[in-house]
Amino acid sequence: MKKNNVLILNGSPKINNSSSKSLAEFMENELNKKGVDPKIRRVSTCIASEQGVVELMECIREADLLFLISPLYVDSLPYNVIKMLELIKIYIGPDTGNRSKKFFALSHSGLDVTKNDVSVRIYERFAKELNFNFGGSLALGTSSIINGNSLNFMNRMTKNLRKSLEIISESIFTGNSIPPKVQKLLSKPFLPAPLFLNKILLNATMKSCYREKDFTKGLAKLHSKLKIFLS
Amino acid sequence: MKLLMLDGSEKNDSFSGRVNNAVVEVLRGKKTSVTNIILNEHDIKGCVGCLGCFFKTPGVCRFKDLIQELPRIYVESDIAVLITRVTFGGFSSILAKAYDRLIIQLESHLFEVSSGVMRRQKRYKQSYPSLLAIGLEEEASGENRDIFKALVQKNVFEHLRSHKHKTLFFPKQTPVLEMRQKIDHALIKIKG
Repeated sequence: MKKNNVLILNGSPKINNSSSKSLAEFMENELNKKGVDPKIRRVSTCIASEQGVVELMECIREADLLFLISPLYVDSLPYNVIKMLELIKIYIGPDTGNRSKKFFALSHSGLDVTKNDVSVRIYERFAKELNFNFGGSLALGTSSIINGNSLNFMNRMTKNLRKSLEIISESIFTGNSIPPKVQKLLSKPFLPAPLFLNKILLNATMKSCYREKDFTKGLAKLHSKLKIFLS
Repeated sequence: MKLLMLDGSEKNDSFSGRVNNAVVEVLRGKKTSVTNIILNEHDIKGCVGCLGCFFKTPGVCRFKDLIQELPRIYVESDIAVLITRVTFGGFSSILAKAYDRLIIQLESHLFEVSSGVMRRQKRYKQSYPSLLAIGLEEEASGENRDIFKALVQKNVFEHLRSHKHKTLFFPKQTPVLEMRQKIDHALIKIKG
């Protein structure tokens, strides 16, 4: 793999606490270890100006491998990623040169991994329509737990995720396709379901108490809501 | 009857203009008040995932534009119509920009489990409108249609909670008369 011809696209519209950014940075580090120096571009920033769009399209033309990391918005892609795909269709189109470019996509959802069912199909369709060499769409669940933190910092919790990204970077380096076991690893939740629900419950308690400006009132309000939820 | 139409087409797109007109023509003289929002005519910001509409100002987006008002219009409507180019099987970026922000304002931060699926609870008690999603295509594509239908179905179950929904596809060469007939038929079906 030649240096500098890997382009990692961060599709998150979020600036702070972005899980896509954490994933992109981890991938960059992994590729750096292998002597590959990828470029990272934030889609929202690039499509905000005409010059940014031209530069982004130039980066895509030059790249041999595109790796798009994007969150899930209402079962689909966020608007900025759709906009980028539309722009690629206009500026580059189904160019025969696209066949030599590998395209991978990683869609991550804050809830369970199955929420990504439609978005992975959209990425596949995009690659097919524009003649990209499709390397695969991967789906990740419960990514809200990453919340912009470094994956290395969340040591135990992100063990499977880090292992998957290591295998992906190895596949990118060797030019092979991503082995099916990666999706199996990515489908494993960061936390066992009861702990994940506990975290959600704890967050909801904190927010409720904060809104009510009173711990007891906040707790009572949450309790009444939970009673409706459980009944 | 109240109908909300969200047209997610590009500027000067004559094809979607024809479809938009066809919906308006079908409803003429049917005692229906139509709120026809052509999204490209408005300056709309995209969702930045701040979750402020869940926790800081529940149900209200922090960006003060048309979309802040849209949940009220949506909840009061009997039918919602989406018009969009089928973009790799999904919605167009113009529709997605408004749609993402609308949906998240209609949902609570709390979860519920329905048919074994975890989803967010509805924010408002009123029943949400039935949905007619119209996908516009340069040429008919079975694969795109399958993805589009799956997306609409998933949206309806997990977010929109429409009692009835229908998806229509119009390839570019569809005659206006055929469009009107199909739209009329679909509206009767989801209204009843």
